[in-house]
Amino acid sequence: MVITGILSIFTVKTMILIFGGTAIGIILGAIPGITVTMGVALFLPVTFGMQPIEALSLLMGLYIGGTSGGLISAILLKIPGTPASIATCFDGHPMAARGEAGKALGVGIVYSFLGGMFSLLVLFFIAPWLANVALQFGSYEYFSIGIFSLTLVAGMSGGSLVKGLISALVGLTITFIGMAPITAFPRFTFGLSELDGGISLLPALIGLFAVAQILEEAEAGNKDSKPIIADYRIKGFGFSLKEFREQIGNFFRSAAIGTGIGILPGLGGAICNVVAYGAAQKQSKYPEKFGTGIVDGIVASETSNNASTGGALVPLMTLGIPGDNTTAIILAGFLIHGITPGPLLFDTNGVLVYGIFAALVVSNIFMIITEFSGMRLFVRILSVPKHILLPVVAILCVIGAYGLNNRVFDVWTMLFFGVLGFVMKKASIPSTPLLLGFILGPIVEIELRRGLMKSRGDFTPFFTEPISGTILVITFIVVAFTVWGEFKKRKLKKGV
Amino acid sequence: MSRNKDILTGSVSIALGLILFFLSFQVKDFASVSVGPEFLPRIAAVLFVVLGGVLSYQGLKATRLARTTVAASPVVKKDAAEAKYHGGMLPVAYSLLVMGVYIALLKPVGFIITSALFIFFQIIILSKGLKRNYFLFVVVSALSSVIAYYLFVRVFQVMIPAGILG
Repeated sequence: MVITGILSIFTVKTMILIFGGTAIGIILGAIPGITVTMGVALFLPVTFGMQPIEALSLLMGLYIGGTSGGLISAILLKIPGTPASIATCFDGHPMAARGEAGKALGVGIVYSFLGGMFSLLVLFFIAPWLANVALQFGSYEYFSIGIFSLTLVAGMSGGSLVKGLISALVGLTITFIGMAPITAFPRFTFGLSELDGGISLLPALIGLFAVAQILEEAEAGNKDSKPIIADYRIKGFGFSLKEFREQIGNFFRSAAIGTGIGILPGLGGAICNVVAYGAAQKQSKYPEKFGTGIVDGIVASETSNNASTGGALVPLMTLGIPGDNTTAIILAGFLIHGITPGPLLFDTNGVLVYGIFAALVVSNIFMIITEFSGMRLFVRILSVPKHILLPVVAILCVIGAYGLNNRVFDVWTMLFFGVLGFVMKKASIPSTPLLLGFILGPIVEIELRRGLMKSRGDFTPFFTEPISGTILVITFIVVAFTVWGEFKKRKLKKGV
Repeated sequence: MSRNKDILTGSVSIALGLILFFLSFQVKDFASVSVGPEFLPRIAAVLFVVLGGVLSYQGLKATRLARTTVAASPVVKKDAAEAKYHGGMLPVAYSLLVMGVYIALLKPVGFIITSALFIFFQIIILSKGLKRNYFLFVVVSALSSVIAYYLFVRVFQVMIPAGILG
């Protein structure tokens, strides 16, 4: 099964798709204002007519390429191409300003690759094991995992637990629309027959992550200044063997942080690069040098953000819960092709699973080769103005939303979610909890009701079943800690 | 400013909770289930109200605190030049209008024509304050919608409304 799976991607068409996906991913990741999530969403309609393994290979290529591509603009323009490379700016740009752009890029690219490969190893060994464990899960456990994921994301993605929870609730509430689970009575449809099936995931995602972004750009307006691009030629890998040896500790710490945060539901590259950077600085013998353009900072940021890719795929493939925003879109990609990720995936679609693993490895290799050889091209594309790019992106969004079910209704849904995403941004409410609430809503509700049917209306098994109980206790501890942390922060502010 | 926003957000959350709560009484199901399809919506409704209340309270307290400690923060005047390039809410409203018209006409008129027009107007909106090259805009609008249409219909086999050209 493993070998059949790996071999399944070695066709000319699939290879071209992985390569194309990786290269386009790098470009989209590098362009500020287009995130990896948006890029993957834009390419979903392209996969409608493909075989599942081809489609997923393309999406994986985009994911890997996009996550890495952000480093190019972070170093050369001091604008992170994606939120996952925010911390890369801190040291990458000072280095480029000093005339060492080539070195900064070389370090970023190599450690992106190493971080990505590290996390794939983790994925390869942990995912089948975790899937096996997850097979034992029943209603109580799934309900608890759902609640745990929602509170965790709510607490960590925005700074304010209350706002995060409101966001998750909005997502949950949207899933109430349509047929109620188990008994299939329509509810909250306001008499619209289009709403009987509920709101489709894809238009909602495109709206939240692409249309909202366009509206934000419209609000931000233009700064009429031509970016100055430093000399970006790279000699060799750009750094010495000695430097490589010095960074080994930093690499493993950052890779572990990236993979770990990636595995947590809903949290990915956007958070872990900052965390890994902070950890590297704290553990360093020369923390004062961080921010002045040292290799350590780039290593921490770029290792961790690419390490989050393999991590984020762990919960997606074993539990059907996306590990970050982009994997949520990849989840939609699975569903479009009639595949439901979850513990059974390894039994029913084992060949596909190992095909995806192989595609990820190949994509990482393509990524390092393409970035070293194609830097000149990527830099040129960075100068395409946003005001021309974004409207073209918008029509691709429309194709994506319409093409799924051939309904204009879904395009309106997309626009609605675009406005919702924009308004939430204005109110400083994070959108990731909403997304997770939207995906986990049905799971939480179905498993709650199933569990209650099994226990004849008794709530206690949710707490007394060992795994379910433990998860709920951890959830409670997380909430307690977040509240306590916010409380302390507020007190500190008052004191000042 | 952000404190007042929190009060507003909290109020909206409370309102959402109340609406959801009342709507949940219209949900029908088999009679004798203790936890039916209206159960989770009602829990969510209660949480909306509680969280909205907490957020409003936090906002209110912070506003009071800010009033007592900071008498007047220096108002930063925006550069005239910067304002020229700053978008603001008007371009957002225009964008929404253009998108709305685009979606409404998508099916009757067809993808190619509506998309080309949409791209053109959206570029105009987004290029506020920049030097506009109308010829380039027209070429980009026409080319990208035609290419997108044929690429998706022929190569990727996705259905897109052909409209009056079909």
